Amino acid sequence: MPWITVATLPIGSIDQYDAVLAQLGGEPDGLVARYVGTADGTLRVVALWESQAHADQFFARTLGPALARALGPEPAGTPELIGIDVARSYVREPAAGVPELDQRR
Amino acid sequence: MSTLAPGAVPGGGIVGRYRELDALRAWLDAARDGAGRLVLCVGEPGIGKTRLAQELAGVALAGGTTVAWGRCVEAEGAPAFWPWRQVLRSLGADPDVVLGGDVESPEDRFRVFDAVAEAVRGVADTNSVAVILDDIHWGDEPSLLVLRHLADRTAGARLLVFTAFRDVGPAGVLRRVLPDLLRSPAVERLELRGFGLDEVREQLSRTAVGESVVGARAVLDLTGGNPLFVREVARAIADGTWQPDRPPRTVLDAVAARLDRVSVDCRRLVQAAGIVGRDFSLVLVAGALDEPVAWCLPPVDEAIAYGLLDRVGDTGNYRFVHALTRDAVEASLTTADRAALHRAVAEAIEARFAGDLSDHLPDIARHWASLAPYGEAVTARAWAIRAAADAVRRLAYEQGVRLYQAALALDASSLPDVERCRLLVALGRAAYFAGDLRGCVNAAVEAAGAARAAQSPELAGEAALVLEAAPTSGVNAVAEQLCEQALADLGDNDHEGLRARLLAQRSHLAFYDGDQDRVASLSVAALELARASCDDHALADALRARQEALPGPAGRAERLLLATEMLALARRTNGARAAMWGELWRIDALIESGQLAAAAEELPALRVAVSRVGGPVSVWHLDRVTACVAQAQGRYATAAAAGRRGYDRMRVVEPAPATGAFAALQCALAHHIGVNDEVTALARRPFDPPPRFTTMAWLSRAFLLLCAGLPDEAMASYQQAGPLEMWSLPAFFVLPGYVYGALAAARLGRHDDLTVLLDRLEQFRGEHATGNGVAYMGPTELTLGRGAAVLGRLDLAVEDLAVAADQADRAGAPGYVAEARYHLAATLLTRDSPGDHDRATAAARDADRLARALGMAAYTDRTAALLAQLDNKGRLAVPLSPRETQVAGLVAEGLTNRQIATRLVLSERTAQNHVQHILTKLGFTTRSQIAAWHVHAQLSRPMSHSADAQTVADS
Repeated sequence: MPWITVATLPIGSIDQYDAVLAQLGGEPDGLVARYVGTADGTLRVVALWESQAHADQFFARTLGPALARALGPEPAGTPELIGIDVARSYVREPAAGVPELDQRR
Repeated sequence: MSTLAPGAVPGGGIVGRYRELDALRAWLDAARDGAGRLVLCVGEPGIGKTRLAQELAGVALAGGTTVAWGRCVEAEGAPAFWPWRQVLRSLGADPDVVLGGDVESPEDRFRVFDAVAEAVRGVADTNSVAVILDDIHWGDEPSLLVLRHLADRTAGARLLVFTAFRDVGPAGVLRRVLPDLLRSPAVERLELRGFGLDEVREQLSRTAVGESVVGARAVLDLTGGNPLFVREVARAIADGTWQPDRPPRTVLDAVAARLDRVSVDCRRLVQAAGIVGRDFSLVLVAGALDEPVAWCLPPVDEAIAYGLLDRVGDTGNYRFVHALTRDAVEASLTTADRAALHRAVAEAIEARFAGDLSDHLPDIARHWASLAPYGEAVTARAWAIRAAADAVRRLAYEQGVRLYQAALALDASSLPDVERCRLLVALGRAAYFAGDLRGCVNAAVEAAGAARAAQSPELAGEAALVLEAAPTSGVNAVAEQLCEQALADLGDNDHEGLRARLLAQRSHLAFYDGDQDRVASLSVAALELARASCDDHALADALRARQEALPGPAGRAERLLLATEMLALARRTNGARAAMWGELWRIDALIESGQLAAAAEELPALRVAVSRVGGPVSVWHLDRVTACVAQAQGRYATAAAAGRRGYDRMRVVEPAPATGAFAALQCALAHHIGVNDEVTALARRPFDPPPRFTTMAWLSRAFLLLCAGLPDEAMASYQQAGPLEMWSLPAFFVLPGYVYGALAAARLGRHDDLTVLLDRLEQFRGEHATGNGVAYMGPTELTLGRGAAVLGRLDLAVEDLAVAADQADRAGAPGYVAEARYHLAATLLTRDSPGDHDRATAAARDADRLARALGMAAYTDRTAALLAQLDNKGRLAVPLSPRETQVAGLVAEGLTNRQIATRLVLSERTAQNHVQHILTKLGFTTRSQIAAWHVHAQLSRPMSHSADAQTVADS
């Protein structure tokens, strides 16, 4: 069952986010898609996973050590993490003349 | 896709520590589910405590847990509550608001501890929180006391508190607090040990040179597996400072060698930063070096590249990578350079924060103290005094003591006696608030000596008042002597306010000595002087002294007047504390006079005053009188909840009054609603009350054990109180003490004691047994009547119990009405004179109805049994018709109205009418009461002697 996570992490900038990704050393198992942007000055990461188990594994075991390294000597803040069980979905088929989303991380 | 092992990240991930991280993850998960933890992580310097904490922080954040850090600093220049200020700010709270407020007694600081704990727990209510407190071996005492306070409240919160400290000679403060932390309910200890060969090899493999130059085994042998040392060796190998023939012996050696390789500018910057502290702002370092900030940027980048510094956020703040790194840098300075830098840094701080120095006073004082041996003692003393006063204002009393002591020690010969006396007075007060009574006494005695040398009787008075309200007998003798000397020096003219305060102090000391006669005379003199002085402070002290002089019913009228005067003072001065005392005295007096409704009406005003005063002690006063009034009015659940709340608040602050008040309330509650396991455990728990409360404690315990159905243990406790002539009860506890004693003696068959106690209670006829607003035990006549019944003085008993029922009714104490009527009914049944049976039946019905309505579990079975017994004697207590009796039996079988109708061939409506009539006649409201009554009526058996004697037989 696909699973969506919406994470608000105490990451100050896209650059710092890239530093976190660099610590990961590769994309996590089960990640289908990820979109990152800023709303109200806060960085948010929306990700689609093959399953909740994949997402749980990532947040419980993989992301933490990367944050520990990337967020300076005292990683701190107030994160938020929402999980969504995908009940319905729609993905537009690629069509001529419609640009793909930028592959930027 | 990733091929990483769980928990591992390439490059910079933590080395090893798999077991510790698994444990931390489990505790974090538990904390997220509401089972909080306090983790004590211990290990030698460089072992990786902070690194582990960083890993925990990352894991917590990744799982959606809020993370806040508080770091204790090595130097003695941190502001009060420094780690908690960082934590609060990180959690979005204003530290100045949470940590602010006036303080008038040592206990008031618990208000701040409470406020910090509540602020943290408040955030944890909405989202799980991990608080990381690093290097708590350097923590200031108030910060560690906050930690201890929070530790007790962690178990039920969505909170993980991770603390890290060195196991090598923890500082005195931590050593004192650590046993308490280890006893806290949700504590986990995590001991970090050095790397093994695999971890050393892994650490080396992360450097460019890997293991090719120096073997992992050799590094392990050299470093003992200390991770910081291993990293430093790896770095030395990588940067070329490694010399195989002269390997570094310590981390300091390794850092010193690296420092030799950096540029001159970099070394200059790092050395100045090392004097500022482990954490520093580049602007401040630039100021100390008298260089533009821009000049600092290249050397700071170089220091980062050399692994000496870390950048903290993007606000221009930096940190030495480890405390040992800073130590190595400071060790590289000559004495002259170090002194010059201390001066430069002190002046840079003064210049930069000239608008508001309060956060920086201890730090400035620290730098000037370093310069004191080089001709700056006077300047150093001035800053130390300023910092000390600010520390006390911020409730950091221990820091205040330390700074005042430092100020006194700086070039003591140049200090004039007057200034020395003032400093000692300030030191004594700080020590008193810090709970250091010995330090307080010493300072007061020295201050008095300095006052005499300065020929200032006024200062001698101030010195004597340093020992205010210290209840320890060792202090009392000194305080008394200082007060007498000061009063003699002051003479009879002028200084009325000061003399009034000294007399009030002497009265207070006499009160603690139990010398009630001296309390009476001294308090009168204090109050007269205070009223004449127009000194509000003196008046408040004198009113309190006088209030203590008027215990028991005899002093009640004057105490009410004092309450009125105190409330007027509160209005005039807008004094919250005066308002609180005025309200408390008034409520206590109203309870004593049996005006319970009036006492209840005062509670909202008390609540307002208490909320203005703040702190657990004042709230405990509110809780205890709220509990007392509710218990007296038969609102037992409210009483139990308020009593429990107050006990939980107060026991960590002042265990003796907390326990005494809680035990007294439990006695009163147990007496009517029975006991549970916790109360039984309380009655059996070893205790150590202050000496003058010992008799009261044994008597109340005997009473409680009887309520718990443990007559043998009750007898042992009663005997511990000693022979009656040896009993020693504080004046305000004489009446309730005799009540406990008489009721216990009655039920234990100690009739000789009972006879004496009833004689002693005669003087209290018309009064209500209560002491200091903690519990209400009913009208005196209730105990007199119950005692008389046990002694077979049935006519007297009947008379007193009838009076007691009326008194309790007028007081608004329905539980005591029920108790009095029950014992009246039982006594009438025993006496069995003409008319007694009907009177007994009416009283028993009344008692039964009230007991059921109030939920008096300790009485409902007894009242039902008594009613059934009256019924069984063939003189029907309840005029049920045969049909109604039949219907009552069917109700007892559990039949519904429809089933009863079917069984008796009636309409359902008729069956319902019968049930309603039964309810009305029996004074019941539920069918289950009818059922219970019917069962008891069937099972009842004859009763002999008094109800109390029967209780003994039952138990």
